[in-house]
Amino acid sequence: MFGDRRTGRIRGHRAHTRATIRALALGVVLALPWPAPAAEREDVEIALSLSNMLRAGRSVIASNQTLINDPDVGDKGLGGEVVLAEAVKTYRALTGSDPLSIDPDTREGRLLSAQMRAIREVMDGSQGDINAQGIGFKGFVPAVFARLVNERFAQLVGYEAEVKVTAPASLVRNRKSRPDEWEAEVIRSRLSARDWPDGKLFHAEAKKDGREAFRVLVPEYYSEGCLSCHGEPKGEIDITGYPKEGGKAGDLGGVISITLYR
Amino acid sequence: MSRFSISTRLVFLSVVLIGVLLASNALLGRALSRNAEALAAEAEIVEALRVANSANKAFGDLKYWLTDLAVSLLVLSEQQVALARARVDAALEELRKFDAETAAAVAQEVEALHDQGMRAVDAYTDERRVIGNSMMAASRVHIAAVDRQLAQLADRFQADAIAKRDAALAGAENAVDRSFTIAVAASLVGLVLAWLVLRSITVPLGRLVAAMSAITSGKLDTQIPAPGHDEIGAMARTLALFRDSLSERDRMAAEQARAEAAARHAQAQLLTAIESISEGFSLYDSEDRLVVCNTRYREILYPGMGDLVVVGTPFETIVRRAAAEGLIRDAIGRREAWVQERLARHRSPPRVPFVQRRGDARWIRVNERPTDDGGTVAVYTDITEEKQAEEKLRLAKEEAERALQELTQAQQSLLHAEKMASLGQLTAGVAHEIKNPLNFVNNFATLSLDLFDELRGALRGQSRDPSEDDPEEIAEIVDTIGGNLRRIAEHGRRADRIVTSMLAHARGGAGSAQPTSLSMLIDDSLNLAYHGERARNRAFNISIEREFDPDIGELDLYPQEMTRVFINLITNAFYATERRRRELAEPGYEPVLKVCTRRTEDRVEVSIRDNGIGMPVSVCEKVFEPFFTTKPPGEGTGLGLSLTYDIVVQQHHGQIQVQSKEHEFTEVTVSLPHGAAPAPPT
Repeated sequence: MFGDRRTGRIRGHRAHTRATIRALALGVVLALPWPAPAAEREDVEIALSLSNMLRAGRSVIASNQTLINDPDVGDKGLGGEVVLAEAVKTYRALTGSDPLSIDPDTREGRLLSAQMRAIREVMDGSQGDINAQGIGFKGFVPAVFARLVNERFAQLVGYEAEVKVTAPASLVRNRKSRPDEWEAEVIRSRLSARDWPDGKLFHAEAKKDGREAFRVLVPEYYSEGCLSCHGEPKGEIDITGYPKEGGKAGDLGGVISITLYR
Repeated sequence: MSRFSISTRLVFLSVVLIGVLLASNALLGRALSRNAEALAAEAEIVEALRVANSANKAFGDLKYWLTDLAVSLLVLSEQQVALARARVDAALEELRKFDAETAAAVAQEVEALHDQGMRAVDAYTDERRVIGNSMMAASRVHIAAVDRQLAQLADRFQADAIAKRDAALAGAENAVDRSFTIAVAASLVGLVLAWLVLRSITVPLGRLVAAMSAITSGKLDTQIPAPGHDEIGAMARTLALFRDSLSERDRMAAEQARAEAAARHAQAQLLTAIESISEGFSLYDSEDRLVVCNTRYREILYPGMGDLVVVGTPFETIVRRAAAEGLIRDAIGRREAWVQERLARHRSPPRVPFVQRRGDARWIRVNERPTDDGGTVAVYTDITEEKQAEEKLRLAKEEAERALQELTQAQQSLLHAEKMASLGQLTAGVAHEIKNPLNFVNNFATLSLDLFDELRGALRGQSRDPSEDDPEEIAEIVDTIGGNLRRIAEHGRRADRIVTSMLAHARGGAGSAQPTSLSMLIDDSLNLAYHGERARNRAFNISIEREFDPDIGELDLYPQEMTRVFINLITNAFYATERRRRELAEPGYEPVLKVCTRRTEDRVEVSIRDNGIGMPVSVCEKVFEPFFTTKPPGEGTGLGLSLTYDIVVQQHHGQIQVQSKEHEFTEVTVSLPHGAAPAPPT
């Protein structure tokens, strides 16, 4: 679970959600005014949109985590449309723009639509799991949600773009989230560097699986809410059955990797 | 066994027991060693089995984690796969030691499985589920192969282990059996030896203890067991010494009892003796408390004070009471001063006894002496009777002294009378003696007067005979007159000397000792005596022989006293010859007096011997006694020889002896020291 390091944890309560959105918008504002060629600026904006939408959907899941973990409630009311609406609302608050108003024929509209469709389909496809009674923790956490969305997204528009949540190699839990060589190198030499400005993203032209692509890496930092599973003491088993990584608030905890194929 | 000391026996026993222990230990050790080898072999097999099992387990892990990874795709599971694979490889590497061939075969299968499995996982990760499933299915062939091979290996190892364990167990049981047998045998040997050693100690010790009990209960004639060479033997010898010393102690105790009885008897005797003596006796200790006294002491010293004069009473208490009761004459009126004097005298007794006057006019002589231990022993003698006798004696002595004084006065009168008598006796002789020189003086004076006439006539020429006128004749006459004058002077001096001598004799004074010619003194005495005798008796005649030693010279004498001695002796000699002449009327008897002097080394002897009437011995013994005389009454005083004796012996320190034979002779010898100063006359 990743949040903006300046705003603290993202919770299910609406007040917290609004605060989180404002903070995420600030991060986006700071990221935008980089001097760059127009094409590159467009690519970065697309990557940030995809990243923000993923975060928005993920924050919806995080806000409803307690509900999802409730073994006594059957239908949690978290169908695809509901979650997507919440995500869009969050996205809107975050960026100040309405994703539904983006022209679906543009690259950004096409990709964002695919991502929103992925959110809806993943949620619809997961209703059996989420609504299962008698099971408390069902493994449906924001990270899993994000991975499922990204996998669906790849099925939909994988020929054009991919979104992946990865992390420094030592922090990766699922081997599907393992960074590839380029990601591992950038994380090691840039994002993890001591003098890398907080929140600064990285983008570059780079090949992926042999194809030319524009690749963007957005760093995410552990907030207090993350540390219940990833914090200290290191090695203690968390609620998912996985040993904690021993991280501290503010440490680099994850990276959203966006690939825009040429 | 008593030849050896107990410690030697115990050491022997210990050595034997330790030897048995060591031998059984060695046997057991060897058996255990063999068993340990068998166990080691078994352990090796067990180790192989363990390794095979650990390989099996690790392989089980590997299978599990591969499956888990394929399902979860978690990195954690992938890490577990790698760890499990490493464990499998390590186990197989270990297994190589036991069965290299199987290990290699299994390793090959594991490698294939891992390869296949990971490819299946990659397929699942890449969402190629069908390929993944087929690869997983293919991997099961390798799993089955490894399971089978490891199971076979484990079975074989287990069978081997069981066989080895059975062998080791059998060996151990065998060793235990043998060890038990040896232990039993060793215990028996040890028990027998211990019993023998203990018996060799306890039996003689028991006998010794019995002897000790008998001796301590007083049976000193108890037989002590013959001593061996060991410690018990030493104890037996010591016990014998102990018994001997007890006997000796008893003997000495008996002797001491006898000695004490003797001492008590002696003490009783001493007390009886003290009680029975007529003197009072007391003994005070060093602190002046009465220790012992007799009844006599209480009676004569402190009558009526019986309650106080008891053992333990201080001396001061007793004498103070005695003084207070007036028992002491000297204490009356000065009681305290007397008490202090008495105490001082008691504490440092004088060397000589002192006398105490008692209130009842009795006298007690006190003889106190310090004892060696600081006490005072005293003997008290009632000397009242002695004192009275002494007083009587003193009175008698005074009476005797008064009588003696009267006697002395009488003696002096007698002496004077005797002196006068002898003087009268001499007077006639002296007159005759003077008459002779006077005759010479008269005759020569008359003759000289005639010659003067002749001389005067010649000088005037009126000589009737011419021859007489011759000057030579005148000279002859003058010479003759001169000779006559000299003779007159000589005889005058002789007369003077005689008179002087007689006056001296008559005066009878002591005079003084002076150097005197003894020969001349004897000569004068002979003359005086002879002429005295002739004056009384004209018929007396005697021939006098003189033999004077010319070496005598002068002696320090009282001449008057000594003259009286010789006159007395010579007169007695004349008397004896005259008596013999008259009484015996012997024809041809011629009286002879012989006077000899002789000088010896330090004395001068004068012997006067007459051939007179002599004396019987009975008379001879008494001649020097005063008032003894053989002369008829009125003729002698009986004091002549007595005075003679005093003058010679007492005044001149000489000796006088008388020898006589009746009708034959009497010889008196006077011996005088030569050169010794005589004492003044009494």
